[in-house]
Amino acid sequence: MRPRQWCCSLLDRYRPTSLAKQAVTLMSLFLLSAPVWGEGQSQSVMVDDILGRMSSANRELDYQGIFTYEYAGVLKSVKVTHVVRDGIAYQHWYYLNGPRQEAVRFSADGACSVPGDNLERSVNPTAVGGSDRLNNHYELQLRGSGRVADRSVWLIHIVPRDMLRYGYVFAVDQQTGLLLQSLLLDSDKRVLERFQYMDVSFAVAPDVAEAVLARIESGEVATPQCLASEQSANTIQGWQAAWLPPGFALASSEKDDRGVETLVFSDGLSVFSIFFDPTGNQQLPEVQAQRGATVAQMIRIEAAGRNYLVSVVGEVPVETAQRVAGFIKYGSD
Amino acid sequence: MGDKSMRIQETLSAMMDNEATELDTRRVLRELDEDGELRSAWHRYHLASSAMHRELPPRIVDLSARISAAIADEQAPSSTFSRFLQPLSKVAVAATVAAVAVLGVQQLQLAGVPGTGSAQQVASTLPVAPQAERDSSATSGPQFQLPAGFDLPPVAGRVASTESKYAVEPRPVTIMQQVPQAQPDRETQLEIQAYLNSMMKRHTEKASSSASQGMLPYARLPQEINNAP
Repeated sequence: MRPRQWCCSLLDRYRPTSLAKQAVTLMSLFLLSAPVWGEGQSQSVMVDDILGRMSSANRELDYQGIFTYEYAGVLKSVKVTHVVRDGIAYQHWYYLNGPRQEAVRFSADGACSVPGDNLERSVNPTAVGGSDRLNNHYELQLRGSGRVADRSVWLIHIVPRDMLRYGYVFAVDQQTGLLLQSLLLDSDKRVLERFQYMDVSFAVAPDVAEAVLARIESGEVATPQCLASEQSANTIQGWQAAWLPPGFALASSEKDDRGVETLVFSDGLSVFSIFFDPTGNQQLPEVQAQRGATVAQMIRIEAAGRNYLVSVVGEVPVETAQRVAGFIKYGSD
Repeated sequence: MGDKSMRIQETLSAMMDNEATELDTRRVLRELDEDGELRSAWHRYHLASSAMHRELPPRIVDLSARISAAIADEQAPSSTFSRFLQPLSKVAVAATVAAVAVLGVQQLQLAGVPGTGSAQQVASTLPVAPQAERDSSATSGPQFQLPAGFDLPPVAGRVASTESKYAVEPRPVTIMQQVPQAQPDRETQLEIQAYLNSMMKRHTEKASSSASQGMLPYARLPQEINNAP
């Protein structure tokens, strides 16, 4: 289905069938001028809808597939199984290249998080905290349909309205809403990473699903210790991120048993974390690092008689991470 | 402490060349407030730069001390006259500030004048912080085909990386820039990488529940740490 068709089907609904000739003429004038309005309107509704479905798909779908992930000339391929039972998503990873390795985990979705899904909140104004919409910081464009992993997808371009965040190209499965391809672009339009399914199926054999569940239930995966919910938006134990890129809000906060405190900020699509580490690591210098789309800015801050190693880590431009780090303060002054 | 002031001085000279990062600049500005020695270094660097541009006035007069003294000596307006005097004293202060501003502008212009190979001269005379190696190999993998029409605002910054595309085994994390500027030894590098990897893993766990992009956040993790507890 092409964008033009949505607008027409939208208008079809309003086409009067039993009106006088005059009215029909007027109506056709309206039809001539309407497509511009109709297209834009239905597009943004469509994109919001697709992103909303994409966000819930990962929490609700069982699937199995092979994807590749590449950055800076590095390519990895992974066979993945995703099973949802009682609202908890279980994952099994099997790396197809290099050392034979597996990973199992279940999503700690919701643990320590601000209630509601971030992306969903951003595209749905009626959801919790939805006032600051994705639309304010990105231009969401539906660019028709395509094909990825032998499935029909919607192609969505997500263009940042400022240079404080990256842009995305998403390919979202038309049937299920699963994200099948994602490109991340910097402000130079260079692709920093590509994630793409080669093959995906939405029927997971029961025995495979049970095997994954059994492996996960048998052990590990610690649940984090969450911070009290009365922590204010960008403050933690006296720490303050005095500057945040517009649209970024606290998504979660936690403190681990070594005393390392974490604040996570998201604008609905891009995410960065700030770690406040009072433990050892005295010998580590202040560095800036990057891998693929992820940057890290480490700085040292003297606070309350301790030397903290503060790290800003996330999929944001290095200038953004640097600026966030530069404005981190201890105390209220 | 000596180490720290050395570092600050290096950053200062980087600032002279417009090479300092925003983070560095903030740090230096904070330090300038408290460190008289640093202020005089700042002064000297500008003088040196002006000299190299042959743009020094015949006589150099440093007004800053006198202006500070004048401001300090200013009688605090008091009692009955205060209301009438206040505007006046404001003018006086404004005048002194204007003098500073004029000087400041002149100096900035001098520092910013392009030409006559001055950059090299400055670089060889002053302790200029070595530049982090900049190349674009972070993105020089296989050429991706961009979908047509992806419109982004024009570039202001660039992303730098020292990652070599010829590395046999890609390092988990690339250290782009380091303050202080000396290259860390192998051991420190490994420690930094281990530390960054652990931070990245935690970030990923958080990001996956905040970003709704399914498997993607985990895909970013290096294989060897993805399954570590």
